[in-house]
Amino acid sequence: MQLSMKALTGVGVLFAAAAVAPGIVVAQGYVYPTRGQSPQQQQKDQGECHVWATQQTGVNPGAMAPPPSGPTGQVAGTAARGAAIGAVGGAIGGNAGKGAAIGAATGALVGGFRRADQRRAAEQSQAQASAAYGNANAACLEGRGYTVK
Amino acid sequence: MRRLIAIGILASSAVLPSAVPAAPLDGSAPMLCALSSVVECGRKGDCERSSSEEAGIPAFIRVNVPQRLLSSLDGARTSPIMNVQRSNGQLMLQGTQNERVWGAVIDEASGRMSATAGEADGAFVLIGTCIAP
Repeated sequence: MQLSMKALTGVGVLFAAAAVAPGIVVAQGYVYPTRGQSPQQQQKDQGECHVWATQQTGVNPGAMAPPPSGPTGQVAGTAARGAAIGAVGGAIGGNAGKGAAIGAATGALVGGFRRADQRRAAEQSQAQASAAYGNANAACLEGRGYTVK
Repeated sequence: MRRLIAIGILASSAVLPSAVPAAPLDGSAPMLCALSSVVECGRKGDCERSSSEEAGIPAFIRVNVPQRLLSSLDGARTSPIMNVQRSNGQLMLQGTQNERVWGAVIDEASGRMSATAGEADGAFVLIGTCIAP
């Protein structure tokens, strides 16, 4: 089957949308309009599904910070990591990263240290959150006549 | 030839230790500690080597005993020093922060430093060297 220009454009729109979520791998690959939706319609649907998936899961990939990594001692980076860990810790219910989150928020030196298990817990939670968002987004898009792979 | 000798004297005076002694490492002056090794231990007794970047620990930490403060180079992250003791050429510092307790021992002669930071679920072991710039 030959892909139409419309479909190709639609796929391009997907990647453009995915680019607004730096550092987050959303469990979603390609979106194909099975009902011949226009690129404009697809963009609209994807935008609405993003909002819906965010409401359903409480996860907004575009607003999530990437997992802890990179240089330390910088206020912005530390705060972002702390926010990520804090958000994840709250979402999952564990207290892993509690000290790190507090430490980052307050500029604490020792309080901001992160053990490997705390980092792993944060990364795992973030992956689960991303997967939940991806599933919700895919369900929405499939309901509107798109194949999501 | 005379000029070469003069240059040699200047160069050696720049390389050889100056007459001004370095600031002591006894806590009377601010120190700068560089971490060379980080180990993390969890509740199961499992310990693993890490890096300052991974563990969120500044690679360089300022130790200001007169001001009773640890800080990152940029000053954005700090931890108060709550207890200071000196014994047999060892400078010992302790503090607490965010449900963690930390302690450091600095050899006043060599600047060798080791520190721990513990919490209920695990601890860090830090090895490094301090200088008094």
